Amino acid sequence: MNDRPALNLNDVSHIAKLARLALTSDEEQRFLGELNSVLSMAEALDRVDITDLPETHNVTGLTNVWREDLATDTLIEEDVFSNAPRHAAAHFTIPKTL
Amino acid sequence: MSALNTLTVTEAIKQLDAREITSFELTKACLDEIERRSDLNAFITVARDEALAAAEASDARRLSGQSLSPLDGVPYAIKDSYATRGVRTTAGSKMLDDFIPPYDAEVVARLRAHGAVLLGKTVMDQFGHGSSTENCAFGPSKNPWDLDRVPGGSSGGSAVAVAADLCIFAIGEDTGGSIRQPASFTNTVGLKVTYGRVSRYGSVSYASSLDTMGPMTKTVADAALVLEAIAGYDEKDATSSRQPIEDYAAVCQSEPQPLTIGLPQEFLAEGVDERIVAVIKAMADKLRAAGHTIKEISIPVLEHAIACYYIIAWAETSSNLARYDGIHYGHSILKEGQTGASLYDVYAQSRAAGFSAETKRRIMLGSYVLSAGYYDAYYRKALKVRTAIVRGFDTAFKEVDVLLAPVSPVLPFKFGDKGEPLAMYMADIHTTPINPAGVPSLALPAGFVTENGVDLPVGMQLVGPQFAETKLLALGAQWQRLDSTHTRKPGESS
Repeated sequence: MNDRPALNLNDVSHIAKLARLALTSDEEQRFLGELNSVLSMAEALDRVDITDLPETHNVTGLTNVWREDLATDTLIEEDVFSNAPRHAAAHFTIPKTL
Repeated sequence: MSALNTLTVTEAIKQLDAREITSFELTKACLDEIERRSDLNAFITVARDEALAAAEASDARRLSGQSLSPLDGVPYAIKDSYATRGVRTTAGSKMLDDFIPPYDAEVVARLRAHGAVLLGKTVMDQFGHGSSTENCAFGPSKNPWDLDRVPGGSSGGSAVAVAADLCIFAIGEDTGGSIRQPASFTNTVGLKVTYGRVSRYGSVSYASSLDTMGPMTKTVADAALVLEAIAGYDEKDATSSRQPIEDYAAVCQSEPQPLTIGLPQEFLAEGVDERIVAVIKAMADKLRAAGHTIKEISIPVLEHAIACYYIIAWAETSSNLARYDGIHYGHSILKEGQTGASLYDVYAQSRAAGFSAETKRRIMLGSYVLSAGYYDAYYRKALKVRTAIVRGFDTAFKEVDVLLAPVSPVLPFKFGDKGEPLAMYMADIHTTPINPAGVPSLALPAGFVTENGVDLPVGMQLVGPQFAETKLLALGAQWQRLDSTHTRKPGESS
């Protein structure tokens, strides 16, 4: 079974939704061709013997990194909201969701 | 006397120390040159007033004997991917068009603590997504060696600023070649450090397990001086390393021990411009004559490493860029006073308007390789190939001390030449295998190739085991004593 089938237009719409990107139908059409072309490079993965190899997430051998849970100086409220598109008092404002 | 902006870090420190020049004069010379060479479009934001004020403060400290470090008063440029308190930081994207960070990246904070003077923020492919600066929302930078050609990317603006003497040194960021390839395309030096050697805190994330911060300079000795200032553990970056910082500047002054230098055949295979192969052979001959042993070796997995790199980079960037939600900061449809939009619309429409086509493409690819049903075939497999790459380098470094390889298979290309995404990705075939292994790589000028009557720079990379920066810098500095390629400036005849 081919575990890397080519994408179709429905897949592209689905991925765009997952990625929270509003695409026009022209963009979806363009991405369909480009994504399939680019994903063809993944075939190279099959040419490497990965039998029994573990996954590598961090290359310098770090596992859990802990620090003391101490209160320190951090950003003040004014700074935190200084770039917010909309905020009220100490809250980010979003459209009503319920 | 040549213009002050042409000084290296080493020279600037000497002249500042001797009170032959002031930081104000030096900083002004750079700012004037930035203005004079605005055709190069190296900068997105120039912090002229802040820079002059910082230079004056530095001069005052020097006069009262309270200089903060040797770098005190030395002006630098930084890629626009680093948060700079109070100075706009765009990452090259419309998404962050008006973003004013309320804090400094750790690299910026350390340079500030050393007294270095920030000149401004340089052009980059947005979020690091590109190899030419053509994916910058504020226009691409131009290669000072040929204005019709790209300077490389994504840290292209920093490379141009160094090559055209718009600054004394610069800072870049390398996820898959973004420091080394522009260095190679502009006849400058770029150091991609070991993963974790320099804190990533406050750098706009592209792919967090691959991102590295490093210097871009006129000489190898300068790269060592800057590295000393920015390297070291930072508790704000959990992946930063506790390995002690070494005396990088000192090793550049001494003759290195004879080394065994490996030439990986996978980097000289078909598809590499023959003229670039000729440059590396000439370089290898010179290094052999200087007492080093040159050995041809093979690391077969490297041939397939680019696929591993891109899959991991897409996955991580799709996750990192999820933070641009139109709510906390960055471009938002909420700013346009739009009413009646759903929460989903705020996300999807703000992101659609703020990101470029290339960034959307990478987010889509990342979301796909992480999605249910395809995770194993793409992402998990790439993580296993990553282990094979790490082991491939480990085996090679049992045989040789360092590797020597071209930075790019092609010469600096013309604007628009790599319009197809896949063609642009494949231009990174020699730089992307390095990052998944976390090893350091020093790109440095090696020679020139004449094409249509124009001399174009060719860079090589020295790659070493993790935390072997001293070895690379010592050999690189020796190379620059043997060879004067790095002293050539655009516009001069050979």
